[in-house]
Formats: sequence, C-alpha cells, structure tokens
Amino acid sequence: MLYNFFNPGILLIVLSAILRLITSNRRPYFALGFITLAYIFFCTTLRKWSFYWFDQFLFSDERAMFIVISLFFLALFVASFLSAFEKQKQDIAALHWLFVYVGSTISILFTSHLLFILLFLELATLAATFVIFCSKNSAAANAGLTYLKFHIIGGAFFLMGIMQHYVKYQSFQFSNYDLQDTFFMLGLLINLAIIPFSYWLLRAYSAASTLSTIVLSACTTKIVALLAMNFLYEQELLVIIGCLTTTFGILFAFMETNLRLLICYFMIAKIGLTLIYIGFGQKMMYTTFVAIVNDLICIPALMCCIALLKTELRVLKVSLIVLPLLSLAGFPYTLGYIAKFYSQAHWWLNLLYAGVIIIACCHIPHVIMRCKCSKLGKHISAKNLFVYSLPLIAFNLALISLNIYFMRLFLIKINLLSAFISKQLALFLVVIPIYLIFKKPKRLAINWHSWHLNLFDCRTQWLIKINAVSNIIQTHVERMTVISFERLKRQSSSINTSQMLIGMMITALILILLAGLFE
Amino acid sequence: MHLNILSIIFIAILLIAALLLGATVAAKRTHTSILLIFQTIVSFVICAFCSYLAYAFYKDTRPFLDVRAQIFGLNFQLEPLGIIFMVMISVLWFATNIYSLGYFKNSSKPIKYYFCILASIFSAIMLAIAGDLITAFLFYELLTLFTFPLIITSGTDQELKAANKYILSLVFFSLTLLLPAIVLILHYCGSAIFTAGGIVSSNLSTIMILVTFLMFLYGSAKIALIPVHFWLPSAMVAPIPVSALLHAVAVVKAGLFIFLKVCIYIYGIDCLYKMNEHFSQLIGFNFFALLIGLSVVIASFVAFRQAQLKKLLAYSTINNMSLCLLPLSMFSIDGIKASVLQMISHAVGKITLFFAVGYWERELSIKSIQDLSAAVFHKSKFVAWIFVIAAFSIIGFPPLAGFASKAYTIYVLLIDRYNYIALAAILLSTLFGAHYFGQIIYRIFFVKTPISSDNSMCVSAMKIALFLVCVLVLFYAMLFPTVISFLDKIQFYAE
Repeated sequence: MLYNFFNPGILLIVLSAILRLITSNRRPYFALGFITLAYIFFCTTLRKWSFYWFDQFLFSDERAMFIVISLFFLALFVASFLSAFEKQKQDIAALHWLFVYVGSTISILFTSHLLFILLFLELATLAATFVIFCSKNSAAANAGLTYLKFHIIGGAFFLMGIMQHYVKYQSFQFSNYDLQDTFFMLGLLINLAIIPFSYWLLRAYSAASTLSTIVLSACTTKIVALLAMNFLYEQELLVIIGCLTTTFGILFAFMETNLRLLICYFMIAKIGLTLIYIGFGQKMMYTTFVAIVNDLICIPALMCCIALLKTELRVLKVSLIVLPLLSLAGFPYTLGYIAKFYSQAHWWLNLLYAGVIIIACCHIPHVIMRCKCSKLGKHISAKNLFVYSLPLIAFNLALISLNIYFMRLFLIKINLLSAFISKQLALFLVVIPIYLIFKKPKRLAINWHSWHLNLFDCRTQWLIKINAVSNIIQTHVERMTVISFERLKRQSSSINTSQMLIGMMITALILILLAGLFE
Repeated sequence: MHLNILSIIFIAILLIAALLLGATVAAKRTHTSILLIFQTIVSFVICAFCSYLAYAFYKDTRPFLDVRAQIFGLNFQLEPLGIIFMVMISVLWFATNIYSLGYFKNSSKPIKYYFCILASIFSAIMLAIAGDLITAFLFYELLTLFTFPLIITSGTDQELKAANKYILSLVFFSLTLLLPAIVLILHYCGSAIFTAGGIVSSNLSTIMILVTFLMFLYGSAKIALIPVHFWLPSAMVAPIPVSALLHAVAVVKAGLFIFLKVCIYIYGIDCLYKMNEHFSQLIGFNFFALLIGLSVVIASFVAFRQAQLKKLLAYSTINNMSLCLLPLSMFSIDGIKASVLQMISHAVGKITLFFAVGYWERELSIKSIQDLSAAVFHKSKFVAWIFVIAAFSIIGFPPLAGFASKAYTIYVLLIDRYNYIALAAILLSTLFGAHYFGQIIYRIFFVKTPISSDNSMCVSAMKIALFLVCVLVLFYAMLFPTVISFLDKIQFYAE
C-alpha cells in the first residue's frame, strides 16, 4: 500500500519535484491540486499512521496530529491560492520549495527516530533558505544565509544531543524521555528564535516574499515548539528565558512601525510565552499545545493580512483580523485564553499579558490603519477584494471551529471563570485606554535595528568589530533602560517618550495592584 | 583468495609495468589520449583488485593477520588502514582518469605529465603497504618528488614559484622534523617497524614522546595543518585533475595516513592516551585538541575570505584535514576510526567539488565566486546540482557522506569526557562552511548576470566522473556500518 512508503510529508516532497517541472504560469493551479490530493491522502489514511508524539495528552494522538497537520496544509494552500492571483515571479518560484518545506515539517511528526527528526529539520532549513533566496535581492541573499547559518548551528547542537543520548542509551529512538540536556536545549532554542538568537527570524521573515512568509511563520517555530514540549518540559530555566524573550519581543514590537517586523517581534513575544508554558511542565502540557495551535492559526493570518493592505478599505483590513488578534491577546473565551486560564496561579505573567494586549489590540491595528497604501504597489480592485479576503476568512473559520472544540474539551468551571474573566477583562480595560491616552509617536526616530545588521552582516569583515560591539552595547543599554529621556527627545521632537514611559509604569503599577486584589 | 604478500607484489608489478609501458609508448611518440585510456584501464584493474583485497580482508574471520614481506630491504605490511587507503586512492584515481579524458580532450599534455601521475599513485599505494617508517618515509618523499612536476604545466612564473614553494616547504619540514623524528625513534627503540601496540612506550620518556609526536605531526606537512599549510593554496595552480586527485586526496591523505600509522604502530594508542592525560592534567585542558581546533577555525576563517574558487577549496581542504585530526585528540581506537571515516568522506566530497569547479573553469571560464551566476545553472544544471550536493556533504547535511562522519566524530568526542574545544571547533567550521558554500549556491541559482564562453568541447566524460563521485557522496552513509565493522579490526592491530 502507498502509505507504507509515503507519509503525507514525503508525498508533498515528491510532488514538489513534479511541480518544478510545470511551467510558471500554471504552477499555482497545479500546486492547489497537489495540496488537495495530499490532504485527501492524509485524511483517508489518518488511522493507519502511528504517531509517537503527545501520548501523555488528554485527547488521542490522531486528533492532535490532525489539527496540526491540517493547519500546515491550510497555510500552504493559502500561499498557493494567493500566488495564483498575485502572479509574482518570486512567489511562483518559491512554491515547490514551500512544498519541500511543509513536507519536511510534517514528516517530523511521523517519525520516532532522532536522526530522522534531524534529517527533516535540516531539509526544512534548506527549503526555507531557498524560499528566502527566491526574492532575488541582496537583502534576501543575506537573510537566507543568516537563516541557514543559525539553523545549521541549531542542527549541530541537536546532533550533539542525539549523539550524547546514543552514548548514554545506545538508542536513537525518541521514546526515551530523558532528553533534557544542554545540547538539545541549545539546538531547539536557537531554532525557536529566543533572545539572543532571534535575529534570523527578523531578517528572514522580512526579506522573504509576503506569501512565503505565511508558510514560513507557520511551520519552523511551531514544529520546534512541539519538539521542545517533548524534549524540554518542566525546566525553570525555560521560564526565565521565556520571560526575557517575551519582554524583548513586546518592547521592540512597541517601538516598531514596519508591520512585517512588528508581527515578527510579536511572534518572538508569543514564542517566549510558549516557552514559559513549557517550562511550567506537565500540568501545562495540554494548554501549551493549544497555545501553539493558536499561534499556528493567528500568526499566518496576520502575515496574510499584509497581502490585503493594498486596499483603502481600512475597516475591512482590521475587521478580518479582529478575531486572530483577540485570540493572540488572550481575550476571554478565545483559543489564546485557555493557556492564560491555566497559568493564573502566576500573577507576574499578567505583566507580560498586558504587553501582549497592548501590541495585539492596540499597536497592530493602529499600524495597519496608518499604512500608506500608495507605496504598496497595485491596488486590489473591488471585484478581487472578496478573493483576497477568502484566506483570512478561512483562517477565521478555522479559529472559530477550534475555539469551540477546545473550549468544550477543557470544561472550565463557571465559578473560577467569572473571577478570572473579570481579572482578564480588567487587563484589557486598563491597558487599552492607557495606550490611547499616551498615543504612539508618529515617527520612529531611532534606527534601532541597525545594530543587528552591523553585527551580523559581515561578508568580508571581521565577525566582531570591537568598536561596533561596544557601540552596540552602549546603544542597546540606553534604549532598553529608562535613563536617557532627553537623548531620545533630542533625536525626535514629536516623541512624547517621557509620557509614554510614565504611562507604562503607571499601567504596571495598576496591574500589580489588581493582581494583588484578586489574589 | 588467500591473503599473502603475493597480493602486494601483484600491485607493485602492475604499476611498474604501467610505468614501463608508459615510457615505451613515450619513446614511440604515441598520442597522449591513448596513454590516458591505458591509464584508465590500469586504474580500473587496480581499483577492482584493491576492492577485492578489502573484501577478502573483511571476510576473513581471523581478527589479526600478520601479512608482511621484505623486498630489496624495504618492509611491506598489509593491514586495515593501508587497505582502506589503497581502496580510496584507487577508486578516486579511476574517477579522475575518466574526468581527465574529458578535461584534456582538446589539449595535449607532455608525456612526463602522465608518467608523473602514474608514479605518484604508485608511491601512494606503496606508502599504503609500507611496513616500517623507513619505507613509509621513502615513498612519502617519492610522492613529493613525482607531484612536483605536475604543478608546472605551462611553465609560467606563477607555476614555477608555486612549484618551488611546494617542494621546498614539504622537503624542508620532512628533513627538519620528520626525518629527525624517525632517527630518534630508531635510536631509542632500535627499530622502526610498524608493530601492533607500538614500540615506544617503554623506550621513551613522556617528554620525548611529546616532542617526537609533535615532530611527526608538523613534519608530515602534507596534512596541511596550520602553520605548515602554505604550500597547498599555491599548489592549486596545477590543472584540476591534479589538484583534485593529488592535492585534495592523495597528497594530503598520505600525510594523514602516515601520521595515523605512526600513532597506532609506533606509539600505540595507550601510550599516547597516557601522554595526553599527563599533559592535560598539567595544563588543565586537552592541548592537542586546542592546537588542532585552532587550525580548524583559522582555516575556516581564511576560506571565508577567499574570492577565488580554487583557493577557497584549498583552505576548505586545510580546514577538513584538521577536522580529520580532531577526533584523534581523544587518543582512542574510536578516535582513529572517526579520523579514517572523516578522511574518506572528505576525499569523496572534495574531489566532487574540484571536478565541478574544473568543469566550470574549462567550459564557462569561471575562476572566482563573482563570476558565478544563474547562467551557470542554466548551462550546467547537472554539474550545479552535484556541486550543491557535495557542498552540503562538506558542511555536514544529512544523509550525505559528511554528515555520517561528522556524527561519528561528535560521538567519539562525547564518549569519555566532553571535549568542548573540539566541539566548538566543529561548530565554527560548520558555520563558516555554511557561509562560503551558501553564497556560492545563492549565486549559482539566483544571481542573473550575462556570461559568455567560447568553449565548445565535449564534456560527457567529465559528467560521468562527476556522477560516479556524487554516487559515493550520496551512498557513503549507507556503507557506513560496513566501513565501521571493517575498521573494528584495527583494534586488534593496535593492542
């Protein structure tokens, strides 16, 4: 039988070779057909596969895998669908590499052999590198090389972890859960884009084409998060790293006005939160999975909305991503709310949630509404508007159906619910007005991300220039602390930085008081 | 087949016959392409014979076979390491001869060129079956002597300068370090015969062991360890088949091979392990890992800055040769095995890269990284994909040849105690390798610039050779368990 030799991921990889032979004009249509074929194959043979993952979960393996793999297929389908309408050369050129990328990511879920997991991770790295290269400009070249280098190093650490495991247990099988060691952690955390390894994500997802980013943002970090759940659960160090990563993501997202980079920083913040849940251990395992699924739908939806920016209908732009944004922010009774509910014992998390709410519910819609459409190229005509909105509608429908499914599954009790809802709603009610009062400045005066580029963009220079490093550290410390208001003010007259920072401090104080009251 | 010294004599006779025939044909002024075809046939016969010898050795159930002979005062011995080296040289020589049929099709080389290639391979194979240090040194120097004329093809100043640098540096380090080390061993131990378990442990103090060991390490300048590496990038002015076979495979591997034999059969693994432990406790870290790790990192960094393709591959060779020595810093049988496995995977990967670069140089007049563009891919898709596969093998992507050896090297470095210096060197080498090969791959697939070439030669022989070596790169990982079980026999020779 076919399924003895192919899993849906390998089928996608094989189909990518066929797709490469098809002419560019017809490639998106064939891609849609191949994806449908592979998905039907997956659904009809679902029960014949053995899944080695998540055997400690409440629900059965095949449901969890069905959800995750279906969402990967959805992201790929959306990218292929939009490429048929956009007809951009770089998107069509990247299509067969996206097939390899998603195919490798899916194949990881079907194997229990550590070396095969590494093989598919590296194959996904290769495919993603070529996807980024398809943009064919110097930024994409550098971004692709950066992506390749970071992931190769992550893969090398992962290989060291595998060999260490083999030395200890003389086995490459995944079933032994004593896999918590430094090498695995380093390998997975580099691939997860935690601080200070988040540079590759920012560079790669901003240089790749819009449609490719929908798939890229769906796959790598999520599959690595799923791996991390199984390899690194219940480690306090992860909680600390997660907090730092979330704080970094929130602060830099707040200062960013480029929508794509903003979403990247927000992604980093959400990765940090996922890492915190993983660090909490077994008791949060189920809800961590739900948080990952939530990110798996909502982040690609946000990337997808960038394609919709080429229209003056601002209401449409924002309305189709209200639900994903609320879910990312963890509004009560959304998918993102489930993990928040189960983490309520940790009051300090409310500070991080407040930051996430600011970004998701205030800053992102604000930036979307302010985007100048004239600079984005050809506008979407009214008759194509519905077609361009279909992917976002699909993401919204997927989100609603999973929302209903998981809310029923987790059976959250009413008496605790009301108390918690009031605390969570209080966060929303406090944070949003503060943002509106101390409005985001109009211009981003600080060229904050040049330090990233100077540090790593070194084709023919020394890897680390001592002067640059000291400047970078100095500049970075200045920006991250609240000391030099006056210097920031001198750089731009329109920044009301002191008001912004005082507002943040007041917000934090109110939240701490509220948390104390409810505790 | 009964494994005895007749096997060794057979190879020697075959090669001598080939040399004599070559000289006879030269006297009668026969066309050089006939010489090349003849050489290809000879290489195929030798390759087949060496493979069969390896198979017979592998199948023999006796753990230890003492197969020795003495001819004209020279000692010869058949042992696992030598057999592996012979098989590797002969297989890659065969592939190079096929490649040369296409590379030199429309150009004629002087008879001395073919004579020197044959003589070099003869020296390498005799080195593989050398039974003592004197014999090994003799053929090691003969290899240097016969490869020297191969660098001078057109007689330009650059070639003369490179050839002088090559021979002077190799001979200098041989005479000032390697030969005195051999003399010291002879003086203190009374003999230099390769013996199971080594001969120096009871005859030399720990300091003398260290000193002679370092003399052997840097005296075998063919390993191209930094700082005795500078002959290799200059020697790249030679034609691609010479660079590929000799400078990336035979010559550098001969240096590694003689050093490995010295470690196993002169010092013995236990003796070296105790020496390393003694000095590691004094200093606080593994000194040899640091020396070799530095060579890895510096070579990677210099390769990172190269713009010429052949120079980049030369420094990548230096980097990979240092990586071959890295597992040896554990001074264990597993370390020896990892070194040998790394040697084989590097040989097949690097020769593939050289063949591809040679194809582009000949067909498309490409010499530097900046000359590469998507036009290269469109004109030579097959070669471009093979280059990509070989490049990823060198970086260590699964499931290629380089990954299998890298995984085993990491396994060896994690067995007893973690050798963090060596692990860090591997990481940095991987990082730099990803960069300089990544940018070449980007340029081949995605950079559009016009390129013109007037070459219109038939290159099917080159593609056949490329295909053959690419198959080795792709399927070496599948042969891995067989090679490891073959190398398990070394344990009985080392004890």
